[in-house]
Amino acid sequence: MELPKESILSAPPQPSRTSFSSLPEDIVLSILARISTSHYPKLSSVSKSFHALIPSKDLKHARSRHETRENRVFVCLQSHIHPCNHRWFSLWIKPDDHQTLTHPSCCVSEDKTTRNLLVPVPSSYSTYLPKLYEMAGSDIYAIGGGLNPSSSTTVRVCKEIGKWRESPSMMVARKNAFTCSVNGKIYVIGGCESGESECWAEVFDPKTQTWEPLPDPGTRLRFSSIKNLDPHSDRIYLRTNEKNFAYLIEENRWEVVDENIGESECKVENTWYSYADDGLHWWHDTKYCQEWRLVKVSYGRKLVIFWVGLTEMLDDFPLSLPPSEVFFSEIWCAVVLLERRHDDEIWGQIEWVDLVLRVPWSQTLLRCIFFTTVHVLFFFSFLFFLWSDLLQQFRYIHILNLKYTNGMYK
Amino acid sequence: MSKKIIFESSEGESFEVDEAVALECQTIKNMIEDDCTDGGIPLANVNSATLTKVIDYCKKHVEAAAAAEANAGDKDIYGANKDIELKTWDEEFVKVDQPLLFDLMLAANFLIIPGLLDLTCKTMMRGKTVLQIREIFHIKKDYTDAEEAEVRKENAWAFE
Repeated sequence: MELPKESILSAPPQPSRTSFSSLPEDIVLSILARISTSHYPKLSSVSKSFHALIPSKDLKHARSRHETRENRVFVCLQSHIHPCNHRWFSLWIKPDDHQTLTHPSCCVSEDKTTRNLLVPVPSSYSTYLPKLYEMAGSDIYAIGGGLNPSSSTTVRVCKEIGKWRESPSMMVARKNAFTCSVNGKIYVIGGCESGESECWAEVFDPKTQTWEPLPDPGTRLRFSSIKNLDPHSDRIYLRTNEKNFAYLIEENRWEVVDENIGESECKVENTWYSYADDGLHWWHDTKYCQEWRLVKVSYGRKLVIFWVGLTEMLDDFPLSLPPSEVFFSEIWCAVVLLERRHDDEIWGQIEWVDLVLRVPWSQTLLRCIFFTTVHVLFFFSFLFFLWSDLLQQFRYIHILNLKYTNGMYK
Repeated sequence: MSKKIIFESSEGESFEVDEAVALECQTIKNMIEDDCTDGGIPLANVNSATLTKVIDYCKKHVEAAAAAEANAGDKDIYGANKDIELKTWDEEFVKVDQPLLFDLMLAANFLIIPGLLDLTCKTMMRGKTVLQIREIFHIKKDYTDAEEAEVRKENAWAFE
């Protein structure tokens, strides 16, 4: 981008002699804390002091002080071949030319236009991994590890913002486990070795501060790949790549669910969103309508949708490469602005759609979380994650494993 | 007739402004509250050109707040006001050359004008290459060529 050409004609300012490097560190921090984190990768390359400041706790605290924490979407990929192999990415919105999350400008194109990307964690953009949070009463629990298995659980009492303390550890170390809270108890499922039959899933009761194992669901569930978890008041549904399962809370047992419980849904206020085979959004609103309808264009709200697109073969590859590396999948992302036109109509405007990552074919979308630590309000309905952002009123959903493919994707 | 406050720039030039305008600067506000503004406020590290702009900014924002009196209570300190006209004005306001923009930012930091500080910080980084950032902010490259290549490689995706 070119530099602004205008200058004050009547009073040309003297060239500033002030050097950024000579500024006190608190001013530099204050400045860095006010700009979008999308600029951080570039700034890391400017100087060693920036490179050191950007991942620092000081900057994190400064952003918190200036209330300039940004919303960020994290996506976790899982390998079909090694199910415990998880990789985290964060969605980076290219700064400058595209203020895509704030300015509505439609750019749907076959070409790579936005240059928005899923960037591996850690990077200069996202220096740490998101934690899994679950609310129980007014307390927030951070559970297990993201990168390495951990049994640690910490709790933050809402009244003491920023202060975390240890709470009783889980019985088994886990990473990227599935969590939900039902009737004030926290359920943690999976995230450990599939062979772990004693305590593959466990439940925490904040009142007694104790963890208890859930019964062994059997090898079929333990060895399948969980896609998402859908908590109800009396049961927890698990969608997996094979069958769907339910844990019946009262009866304390697992069962296989044969009925169709849907692929993935997301609730925004009183409206449910889903994705159908024809690639369109449908909605359902208990107040106005009892059936699924087409979303015509989600109301001053945004949905972020991820899906796995085409699987293609590399143009040139050495014959020695294993098949899992010859094919790659494309992960796409769309941001849709939702708007209610009439009581019974919702219109969605696509702000941008773009290819955000190419990965070996063996990798698939596992989960998506929306991360911030300002007043954490996490609704972790796994497949779809949504969070009410009081400042920007964005809503995010995630659609897992959409086979959006013309038969190309397995 | 509202009370006037007199600022003095680094060049010794005097600027008379309404108290309401001066109150936009947290630093000055504190001084007014402590009642130590008599005889003018010397701003030894703000030059005239910068001070003129700072006063323009504060005036505009006081006027805008008065115009939107109904909503004056929830004026957004980060300048993220919903008022499109004001946003447009802000955008025009920061179309100045880089040294002045930099001075404005430092003045906003010194005088504590959160809206202006936010606006100038955001504007300064927009659309600049690494080389431009070094040049504008007089930042000496402290990386060796090999180190720089390494950091560039780590962040290659951001430069595509």
